[in-house]
Amino acid sequence: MDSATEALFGPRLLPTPPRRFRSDYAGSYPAFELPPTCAALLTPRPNAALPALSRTAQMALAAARQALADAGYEPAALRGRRIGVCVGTTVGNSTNFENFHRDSRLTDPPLDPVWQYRRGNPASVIAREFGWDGPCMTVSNACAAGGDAIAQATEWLRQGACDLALAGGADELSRITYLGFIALLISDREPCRPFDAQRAGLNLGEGAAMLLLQRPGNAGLVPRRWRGQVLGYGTASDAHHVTAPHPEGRGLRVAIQAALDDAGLTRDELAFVKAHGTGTVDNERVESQVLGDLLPGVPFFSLKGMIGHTLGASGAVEAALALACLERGRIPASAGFREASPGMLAGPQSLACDTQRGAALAQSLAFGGTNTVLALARADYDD
Amino acid sequence: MTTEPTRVCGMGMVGSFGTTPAELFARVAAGCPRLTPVVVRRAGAASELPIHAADLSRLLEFVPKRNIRRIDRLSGLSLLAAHLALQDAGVTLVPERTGLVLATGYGASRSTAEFLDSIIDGTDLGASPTAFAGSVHCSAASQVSIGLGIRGPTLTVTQFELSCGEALRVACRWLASGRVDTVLAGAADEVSDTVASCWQRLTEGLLPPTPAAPAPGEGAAFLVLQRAGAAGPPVPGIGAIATGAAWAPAADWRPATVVLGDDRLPCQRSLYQQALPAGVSSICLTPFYGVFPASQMLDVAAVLAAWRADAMELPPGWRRPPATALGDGAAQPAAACLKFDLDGRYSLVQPAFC
Repeated sequence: MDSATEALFGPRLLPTPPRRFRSDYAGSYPAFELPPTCAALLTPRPNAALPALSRTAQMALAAARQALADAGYEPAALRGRRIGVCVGTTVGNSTNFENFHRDSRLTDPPLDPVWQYRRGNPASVIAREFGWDGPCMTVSNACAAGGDAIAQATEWLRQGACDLALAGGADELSRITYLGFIALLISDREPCRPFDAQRAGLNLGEGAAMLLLQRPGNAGLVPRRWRGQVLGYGTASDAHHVTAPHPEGRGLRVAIQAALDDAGLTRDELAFVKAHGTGTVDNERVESQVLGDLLPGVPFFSLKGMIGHTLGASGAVEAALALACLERGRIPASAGFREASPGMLAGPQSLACDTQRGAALAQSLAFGGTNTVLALARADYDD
Repeated sequence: MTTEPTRVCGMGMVGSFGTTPAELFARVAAGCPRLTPVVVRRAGAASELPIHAADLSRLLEFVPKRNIRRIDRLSGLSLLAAHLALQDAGVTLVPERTGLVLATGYGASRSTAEFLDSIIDGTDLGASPTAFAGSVHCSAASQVSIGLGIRGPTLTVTQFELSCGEALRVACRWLASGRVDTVLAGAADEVSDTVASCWQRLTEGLLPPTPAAPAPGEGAAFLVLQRAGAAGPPVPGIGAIATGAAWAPAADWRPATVVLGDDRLPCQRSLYQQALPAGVSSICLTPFYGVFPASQMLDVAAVLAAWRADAMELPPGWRRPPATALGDGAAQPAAACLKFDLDGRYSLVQPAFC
């Protein structure tokens, strides 16, 4: 977490051609893959009696372990407590068995991919690994899934469904989704340029993040340190199109206001908005319009120029990084942005700077029209 | 155990039995499921597999024909069940105050296979953007939200056999939080070539070659949920929901009606056989709609339909409880719908009068 946050304020990280698969496209559409050094964090088969885990499930489990370690909680000490698990994903639930599908035309290939899928539901993997018996749910809300998972877990804690909740998202870089986004003509052959006038699409990424959520004073547990707060959330649907956002950001407007109301925040308390900012023409047209209308003067930025679009994980990965930025009191620059489009009401943060304010919004816009906004705050923030 | 009394003011269902509870109960009473043979192509050879195939022709009552052509099957199943539920409820939705939650086990597996075919049959450059967009797990929920103009929170839950319990819990919590006033909570799964061929491979030699053997199914069910109000007579609703790792009911747990989501598969037989305390009998509807992960919603909808004052004649073994308000000291749940996943985790939904 610390090194990832530090990287946001350093030289721009750039995507590279995918290493783990090839495509028929001349040249490449670069992506943000996990560096090879992260391989040590992944556990392909934590339970010898069960099938090997997908890369997505491995990342989810690795992030879960990190969250517990960061809190200073030993898994054994948590047994018997009501702990919920909510994970957002896209690839982690899909039946994209390309080789199996191809081979099945001529033979009966081994059923390993089927069993891996059937026993590899990300939330179930985590609950099973730690022996937890609280609510357990995998959310498949495309690019808003990670944010929705955190929102759901927040509601679990508010309504007393569990004492702690591990919530976040995970998604691996998959050849199928890679080809899918290219087919939709929304992938960029260059490093993406969120909010820039010359933006031409997104770069995919992969990753996972888990937040361990707990109500202070609850369950007789005190973490090593509090990392931040989830003050509230808002979520609303565009009900407009299966892939494109509503042109006036109808759902996003409702979600932003709902998040502010739920958290009891006003615009003046916001240090920044962590935007969705994929680098696509449609998304940023809508986001910049809405942010310019509703939150004029509030700095905003996209992280996807630094880490790519991690799909179902993005709402959680970027919320975690937003919390880390609040913790540091620093707003990162929106990597890839040089010049705003004509008519754009507001442009993103072009230079990193300090901030004294302690609250922020983190928003996600998804295929299918879901808009989810999390209201976050520093650990010591008290409005 | 989550107890968030929520009333159900409408329901819709689609499956091999038809599109109404009356059709389902008629088949249960007659002991006559409707199976449709489909061709399964494996290893270059073709064979027949009976499945529980749903009929979507009634979708034309709600969606123009030109639009149906652009909708994938999972979305069609979901849309039809959602429309039927709203028609049954007779409520007018306030778009921003209505939520939508959809549970699905496999998602849009046909669209996924179609996308894979577009790559395999051509080159990567021939990948179908339409199939890809339809393959996203939440595409069915988005089609329902677009079709019905639902602008509140929308969520797709994928937890295989536990999906329905979790989806209903999401709906109840949204209502309890005051974010919405109405929620359409549903579940849907489809049979694709991938599902059919995997089923055939996984069950080869394990199931009796009889018409009564388990068969893969597809279907959808939606409930229209609202907060349980203090005024008015009790109406059927959701009393309690529980999910967990190890099912261990109290010895004196005796619901009046128990519907087991028993897929009758060898790998789960012992779970269901040992599920109930001594003396508690159960009903199983899976022979009449087939095996699919998100089927528990059909069980819940069937129980609620059976409780209505104007309900149709019930099959043998079904009991309509008195309209007892939740919390009046009833010692036992009026009904319970129980389903297990492959890990033995359970999803329990207890309909009640609210």
